[in-house]
Amino acid sequence: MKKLLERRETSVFFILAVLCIGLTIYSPAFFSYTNLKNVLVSNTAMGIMAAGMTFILITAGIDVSVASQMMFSATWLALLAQTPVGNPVTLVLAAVLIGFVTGAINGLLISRFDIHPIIITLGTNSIYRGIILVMTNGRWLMNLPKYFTAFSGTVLGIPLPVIYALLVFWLSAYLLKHTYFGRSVYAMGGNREAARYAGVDLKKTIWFTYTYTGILCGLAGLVLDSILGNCQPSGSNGWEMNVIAAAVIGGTNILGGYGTIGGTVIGVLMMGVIENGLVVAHVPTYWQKLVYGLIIIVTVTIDVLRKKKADSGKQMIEID
Amino acid sequence: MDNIKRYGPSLNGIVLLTAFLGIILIGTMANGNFLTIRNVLSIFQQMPEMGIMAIGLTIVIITGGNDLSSGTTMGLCAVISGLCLTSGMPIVPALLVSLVAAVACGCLNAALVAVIGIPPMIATLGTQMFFYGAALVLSKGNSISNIPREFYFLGQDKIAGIPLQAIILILLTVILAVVLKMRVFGKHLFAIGNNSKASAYSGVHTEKVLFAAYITCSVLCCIAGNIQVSRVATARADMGYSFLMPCISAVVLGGTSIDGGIGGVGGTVIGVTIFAMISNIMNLAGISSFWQQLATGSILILVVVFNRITENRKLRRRKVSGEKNK
Amino acid sequence: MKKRIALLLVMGMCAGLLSGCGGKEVVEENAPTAKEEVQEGSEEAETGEPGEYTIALIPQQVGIPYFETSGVWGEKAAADLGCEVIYTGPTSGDAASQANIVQDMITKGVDCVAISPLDASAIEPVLEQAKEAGILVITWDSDVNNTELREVYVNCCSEQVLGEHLMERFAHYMGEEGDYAIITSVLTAQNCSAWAKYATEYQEANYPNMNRVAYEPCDDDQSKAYSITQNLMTAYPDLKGVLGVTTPAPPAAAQAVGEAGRNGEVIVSGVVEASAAKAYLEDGSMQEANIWHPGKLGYLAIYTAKTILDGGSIEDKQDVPEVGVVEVKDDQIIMTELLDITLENVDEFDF
Repeated sequence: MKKLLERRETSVFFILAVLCIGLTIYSPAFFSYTNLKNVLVSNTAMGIMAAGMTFILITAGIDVSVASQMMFSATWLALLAQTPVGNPVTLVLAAVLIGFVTGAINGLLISRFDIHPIIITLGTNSIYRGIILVMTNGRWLMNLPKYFTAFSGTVLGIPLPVIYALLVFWLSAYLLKHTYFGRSVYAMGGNREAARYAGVDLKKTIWFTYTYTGILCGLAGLVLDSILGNCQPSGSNGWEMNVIAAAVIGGTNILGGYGTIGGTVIGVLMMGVIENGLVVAHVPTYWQKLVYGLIIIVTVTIDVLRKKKADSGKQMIEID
Repeated sequence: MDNIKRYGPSLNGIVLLTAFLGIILIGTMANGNFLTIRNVLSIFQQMPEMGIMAIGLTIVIITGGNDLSSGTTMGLCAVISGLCLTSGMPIVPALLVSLVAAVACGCLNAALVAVIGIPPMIATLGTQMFFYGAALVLSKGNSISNIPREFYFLGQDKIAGIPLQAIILILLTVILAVVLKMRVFGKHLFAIGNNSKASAYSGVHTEKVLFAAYITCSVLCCIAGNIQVSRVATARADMGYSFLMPCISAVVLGGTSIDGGIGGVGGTVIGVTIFAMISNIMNLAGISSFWQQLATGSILILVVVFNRITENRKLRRRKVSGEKNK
Repeated sequence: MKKRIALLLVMGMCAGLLSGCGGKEVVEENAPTAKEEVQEGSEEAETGEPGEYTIALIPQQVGIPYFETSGVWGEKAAADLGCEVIYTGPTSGDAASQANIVQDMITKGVDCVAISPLDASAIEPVLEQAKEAGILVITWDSDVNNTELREVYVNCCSEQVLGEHLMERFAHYMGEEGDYAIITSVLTAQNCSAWAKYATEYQEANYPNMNRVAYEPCDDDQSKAYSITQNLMTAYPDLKGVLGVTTPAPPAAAQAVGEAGRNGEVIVSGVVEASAAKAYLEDGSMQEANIWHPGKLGYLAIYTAKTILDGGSIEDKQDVPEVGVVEVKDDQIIMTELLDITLENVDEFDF
């Protein structure tokens, strides 16, 4: 129990809990089935991407192209759905394939040429977004077929997107904790040179993290299109920052070495609850961004201060 | 725990120069108007805003940090400036108020990063939203027009034919370059970027230096904001918002390592100019802005990858000839 | 070494600037000389015969279907009339970027700048430059503050007329009572804010039993508009209607309302294209769309530009091909066809 309390994620979880309780007191509608369902479903795409981002952040990398990759996939899927070969199976396969390609390109450029991820992903961010905008001229792709939107239906009262997200989280957590790949990711983030000496194939590991994230972005695009019923190629601008923020708030160390899927989930929920709460709590429109920023600053501050306090009793021995 | 700095300088000066000249060449071939005085002056009227923000960002990035709030600081200072000017305040006090706001923003960032110890990226992500929110609250989302004509000089005047903002940019670049190169402060910036723990142990007042760095960045954003307000004779809360990513791209294109410890403002200015020229060339050619996005991203990747390839070749040659790595 | 090179480059740039400016008092002189430069430039830029004008059609933002339609029809007009149209605009809602584009168009030496300004005052300094360079300046879709800077303003109706009409139709479905919310683009978007303002004022004056409970920006992102609508329905259980003043909002709101199974209980209407609205009008989650044909507006803008460049003018009640009958009021060319798109007539429209 003490160990649970000491975990980084716990403080964020408490803040989240406090927020939820506060919101429920102010507006009981917050804790209704409808609202909670809305919050979960709206944040599914982001949650799926954040799971992949966790891997990348643990390796001390970063990927600012996730939103563009998601829209890239979303646009192509919407186009595919308009052709005769569109059906649920091809959609999923296409989502995975497109995500694989976009992620692999990132991974290849970063690992092969040993260039800092932020540069490459800044570049690919513009490129992927530019491609779909040139292709569609910003036109919305409307009227997605029923089999597409069926992906976001509800089964036994549970929205399907939530199930997808849970599957992704489960898979990601499994990969992180119980596979060689996962251990390599942590090793790399902890101390890259030591990892290399220990036999970890750095290039392959890096490539895998970006490719995995790419696949997840591809699937996120499928989910997003399905929820909204159409595709807006110019949409989801700036989501990459929210994804990174969600992962970091959830306890992932942006400098690498530490991160958990569970924490990321809490981070995603936190961002979702804040956005939902701002409206539910009737925060005046012009103040919403300010309050949002303030909550993030406060949350991260508390988190860091707690960690400092927890670490103050320890002696840091650096082996460089 | 500081990771050993993995990534060296992202760009060699020669590759940057080649890219710069290459773009000029393409521009001249694409449109006869490209190298006319009118167009060159036009570019030098448009880019200093981004240029000044970018060199401020460079200082922060050299310390191994980042300032994602630089864009919204620019917007906030623009709004404050606009409100002061339209309320009848004379120019100098209005600028001072906006400057004070910038210093406050920089202090907040530095406090979060240096005192509390929040990683700069996430700290400034929070302050980015906070400052934008503040600008929205102050302006209610409205754009502030009726900026007094006396203020137009900053963004619209020319001295000896050169736009005033370009002169300001050059001056600031020179000052910062000097600071980075010669003064003790400059060395400390790089030291913190290289290894903040080691610098602290070596007697560098890490907190003070970081405060100076973030405040410098915010102040430069404030200057950029005021220049834009003066150039378009309007103040808007969203000014500078879209500058952030291009600025970061320009900083890394210009040779500053995103991990910190290496870099310079001259390269940043070249980087910003390259992007401004690309945009200008495409506008002159009547090419849609979507392609501009594609072009900017592609050129960034191409140049950086090319640089890496040439670097690897150099390193391999060195290894073969038995030289020690630098 | 790198830094030395970079510093050399910077100094080189300064030297270049200075040498360039040595003989360039020309730039500081006014119209005639600048016009010469521009005409030189335009002779280099133009590829066609004399009379073939180059018109820069500049939207508020590219990548938005509304403006893309204007662009496509504008290009059609150019083809029909034997002109060249350059359609380009900022990729984000940044007013200074739009000013930069206009400045580059001046350098390019276009014959006319037809612009829908993002910000009515931020574009003025550069329009002044255009005017001094002898370029015809017209505004379409949205106007500038200082109307002397432009020759004519091509529009369908004023911001006030649209705002009030939006509210009138919205209130009709609302039964003139109940709580409602307005979803706008970004808080800094000038025309959306103006429409929302006039709509709200009209409601306060004419429908006292209606009450605006929220005014939220969706940042032109439909997934955000979708979430906001859901959140609004939670936050205000008595919410009876959502008015979207930016094109991504009504379809997204309708999607949310439809999913909540509240078609018709929560009224959705606003500014949205027919093609985007169709599915939602059909299933009843959206009640109406109020908009004009953006393509026809773009066509009219180019047609007007060509007419004025040829030395003529648009007459009141003139029948413009592809567009229809237009009215002329002082210096405004008004398209007058503000459309109410409902389930009954949605198939008639091609945009």
